[in-house]
Amino acid sequence: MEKKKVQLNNKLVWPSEPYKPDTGMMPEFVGRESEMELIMAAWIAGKRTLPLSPVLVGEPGVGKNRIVYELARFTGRDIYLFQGHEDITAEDLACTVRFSDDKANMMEYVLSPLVCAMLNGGIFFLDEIGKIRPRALALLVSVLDERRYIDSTLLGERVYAQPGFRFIAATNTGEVSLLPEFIRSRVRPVIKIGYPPRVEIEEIISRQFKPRMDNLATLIEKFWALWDERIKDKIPPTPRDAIAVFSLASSISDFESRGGSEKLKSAIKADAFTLEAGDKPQAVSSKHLEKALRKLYD
Amino acid sequence: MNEDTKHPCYEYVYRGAKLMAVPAVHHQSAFAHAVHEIARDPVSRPDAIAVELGQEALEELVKFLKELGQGGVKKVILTCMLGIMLRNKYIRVEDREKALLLQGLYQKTLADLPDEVLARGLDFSKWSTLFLDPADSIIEAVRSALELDVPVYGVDLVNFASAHRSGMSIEDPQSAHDDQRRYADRVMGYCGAMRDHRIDLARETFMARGLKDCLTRHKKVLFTCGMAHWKSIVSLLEDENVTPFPSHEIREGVQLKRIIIHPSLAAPSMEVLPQVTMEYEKERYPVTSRKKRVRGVNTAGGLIRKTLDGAYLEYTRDEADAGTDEGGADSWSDIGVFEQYLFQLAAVSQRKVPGFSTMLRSSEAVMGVEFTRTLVKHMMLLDPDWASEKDFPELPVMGPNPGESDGSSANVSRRKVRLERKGMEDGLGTGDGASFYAEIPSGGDIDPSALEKYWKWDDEAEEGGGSGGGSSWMWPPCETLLYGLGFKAVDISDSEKNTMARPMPFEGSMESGINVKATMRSMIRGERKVYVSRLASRSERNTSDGIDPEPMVFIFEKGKDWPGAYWQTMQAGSRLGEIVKDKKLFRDMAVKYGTTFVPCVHAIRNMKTPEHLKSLVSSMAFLVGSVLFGNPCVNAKQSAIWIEATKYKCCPIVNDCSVSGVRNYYLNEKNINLDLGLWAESLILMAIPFSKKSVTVIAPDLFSIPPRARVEAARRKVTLSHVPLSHFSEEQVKKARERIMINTLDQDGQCFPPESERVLSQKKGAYVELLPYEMRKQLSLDEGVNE
Repeated sequence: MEKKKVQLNNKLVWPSEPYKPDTGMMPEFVGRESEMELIMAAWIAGKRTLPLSPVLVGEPGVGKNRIVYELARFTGRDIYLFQGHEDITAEDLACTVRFSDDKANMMEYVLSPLVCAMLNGGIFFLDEIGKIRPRALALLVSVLDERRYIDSTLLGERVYAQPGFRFIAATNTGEVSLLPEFIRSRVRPVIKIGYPPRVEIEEIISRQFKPRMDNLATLIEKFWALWDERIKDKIPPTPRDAIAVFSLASSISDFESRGGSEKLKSAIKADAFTLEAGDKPQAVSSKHLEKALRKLYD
Repeated sequence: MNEDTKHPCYEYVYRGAKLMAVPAVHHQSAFAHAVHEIARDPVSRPDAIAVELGQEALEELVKFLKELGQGGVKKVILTCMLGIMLRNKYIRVEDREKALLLQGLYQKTLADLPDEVLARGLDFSKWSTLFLDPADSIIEAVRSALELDVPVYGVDLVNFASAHRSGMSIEDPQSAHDDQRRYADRVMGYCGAMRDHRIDLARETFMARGLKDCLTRHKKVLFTCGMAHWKSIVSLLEDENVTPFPSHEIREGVQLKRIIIHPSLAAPSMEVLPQVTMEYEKERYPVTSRKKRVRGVNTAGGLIRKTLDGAYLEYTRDEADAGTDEGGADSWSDIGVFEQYLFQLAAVSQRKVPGFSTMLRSSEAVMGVEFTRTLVKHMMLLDPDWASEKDFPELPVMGPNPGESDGSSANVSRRKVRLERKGMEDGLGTGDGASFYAEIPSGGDIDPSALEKYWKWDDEAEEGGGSGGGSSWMWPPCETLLYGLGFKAVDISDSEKNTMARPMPFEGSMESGINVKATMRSMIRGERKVYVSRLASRSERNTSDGIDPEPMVFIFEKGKDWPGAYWQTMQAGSRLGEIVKDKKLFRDMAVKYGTTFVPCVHAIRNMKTPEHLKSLVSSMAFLVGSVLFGNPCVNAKQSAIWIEATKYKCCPIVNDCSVSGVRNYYLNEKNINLDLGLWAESLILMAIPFSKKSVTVIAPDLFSIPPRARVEAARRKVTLSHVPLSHFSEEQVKKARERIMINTLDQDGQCFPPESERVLSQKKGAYVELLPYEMRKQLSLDEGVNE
């Protein structure tokens, strides 16, 4: 679909696109009802109450982003994602400019995901807020309190949020405490996303790998035994960890079933070693699982 | 509705005998009240009572209640929370294959498999528990039977595998207080879906046969069971093939044990708040008494309001006393946000009033640790107090496994617990102090071990603490957080230098990216040049790689005078000479300067140690200012790496490590005469001689660097960078200022008392992630503590 400029007062500007998660790549969502409740409670707003702006805090891989995608789906809103990093400037949060393709103009405005979410009443998801420098976060202040607007110096405009606009941020565990007070007091509740219980990890693995592994129940038990034996301090796995181990085990098995290293060495262009995974069930064994865990965590 | 008595029960007539059933939600006083009223009313008073318990468990319960003084005509309060543990035997039949798999995988018989594996793999725990909750309809029924002196029958199976319940939630049982029968009609319309057909059908058949047997013996029988069973029991009662059977005559020799339930396990499973249950108990009189239970003004909603208001008052008063804000004004605005969130969360969870779990979760998410601690204290208040070992010295306490979450979350009824009775064996294989899994009534999504962070039972506050003749050492997270904030400040100062750099015309390198403002100004001027932001040169940066960091100075308070403050110097380790690689160089340095390395100098103020920490903590202080020479020196090995990597140029080296010794060092070695009465100036002056390029001063927003420090810095070509304290949250700064000294178990401070993490609600390795990579690497070489 062709991207079109939109009119913002007297300016024609490029909008940022909402993020559409690829549902085909993601297994069905499992658990996290309690966390979802906490977020939904924060987002409830009426004529006299403002929505709160929660921040999700948790270790990498526990599924913070996935929770936000699911909530966007449940609430029927578009999600505008903004990836935080150290080089973000305050103005990046409102508007940026780019060199124009049109020779008549030198530069064009590109509205940030935040401004687009405000204009369209969508969900703005600021990922890795803890990585953004404090001075760059200053523009968020007026968005997150009762003013609900953002001033863009570049645009020379004040943009007000539609009533449907909701804000959510995420960061890793250690970084939330380093947010400056003027933001910290505005992004709450602080919702801790912990490690999912083992039963949920098992459910995630089952949904993702059942069509590809016949002996999944045995493999899952083996996985727990290996994990408890090998991982120091009994740190539980995140869904990402578990998926990575099973994916790698499946790939190792696939690689071996196609002839392994011998075949790879002798492969030629006419008979190239294919990189595409097959749909057929893999003969993944405990050995493959052990090898995968060793490669990933030793 | 029962037309004769107007009591909200379900009536079933079997061969001329009447069954009055109260299908109930467990631990909810509305249903206990219904049972109580049927038993109390002379018109409906039953000849016998039947309950959803196995006969052996029931008999133990009856004995226990009698010993507690229950069953007489005089009112005796049943204190919370006592319980009975029941040994489980069976796994589900469909788990057979999995059980074989686990036995093969672990090469052990089923009985020898670890508890964790049984719990996770087979959803099996060796014990289940019965809470003697006064607001539970079964407990009420048994108490009523004792008071009426009528037979009571346990018609449920004695042993059965645990059921798999669906995670479905039902309408808030608080609605049952309005109209219990209509509530039951509504909920029974769908709660059958929560049944585990395989397990529950067998139980219900057994119960139906037992009830039929009771009804052949008695004319009027009162029965209470879980709401999800009733419809199925009715259909089985109507089934002619389900014949009467004396269920209560079955004996299987089930293993039972009386216990005290730790309040952290009990409270989340009680009705809304523990006070609500106790309010029911206080208003209850024996069914034979002429006094009628009259519901007081303290409804659940009223008790919640009272609890919240009590916590708000205490919190705002404490905040105002601590001087952290003006009269607690900010606290009240925070409380407004908390109230909004609390009631919204209750609405999302479809609760009429916020319960224990909702209050705790909201407080954690919105208010932070201090308020949550205050709130939980008010939530856990009970009058009369919780049943404890003092009242029942012969009973062990079943409590959460300290310091360890069992990883369970929403609505899981199986928890890792511990049974403890000092100096006595329990004789049941659970072992005193050993942890094991037990099924306990579901307490929403609260992990009881999480409550430990906020609340300590009085009995536990006296535990532990023995210093065993060790010495006093700094709790490591105090150091790592302070240094972590310092390094973050260095990063902030660094990146500001970077972006503050002047724009330059684009000449091939994008440097730090397009400078839009400069480019547009250029367009306006008609130049049509693109400008980029110049990257700060390496020499302008103050990168904290963790090997040889620049010094940092913290100034936490405004003004020149810091009343009540005093100087404190710290040592990097007393036996560094034995750890360094080049021992000869160390000896040379020691001869020349001294043997004591000073990694930091603080201005501190003493703090009162809270009651609950006194047994562990030797002293507490609050930082007013501090100079950190670069490395937290969490252990002697880290100190040794640091001083060697920096060729002994990183910090003052003295023989006399008192503050006057440090002052003499600066005078003699660095030609700086410190005026120790000028706190801020002295701290900055101490840092300057050890700086390579710059010193980061983290100070209040309007702090002005003293002129003498500016001159000294300029003389030594050192940049002083001011990073405002407001870059960090107030809560974090407050936490970073805390200095906690702990009596360690050894002289070297390597070994902290095992209860340290639990008592302080903090892991020893907390905040390590805030340190630069090289420092974390140094720490991973040796797990130790600082000095």
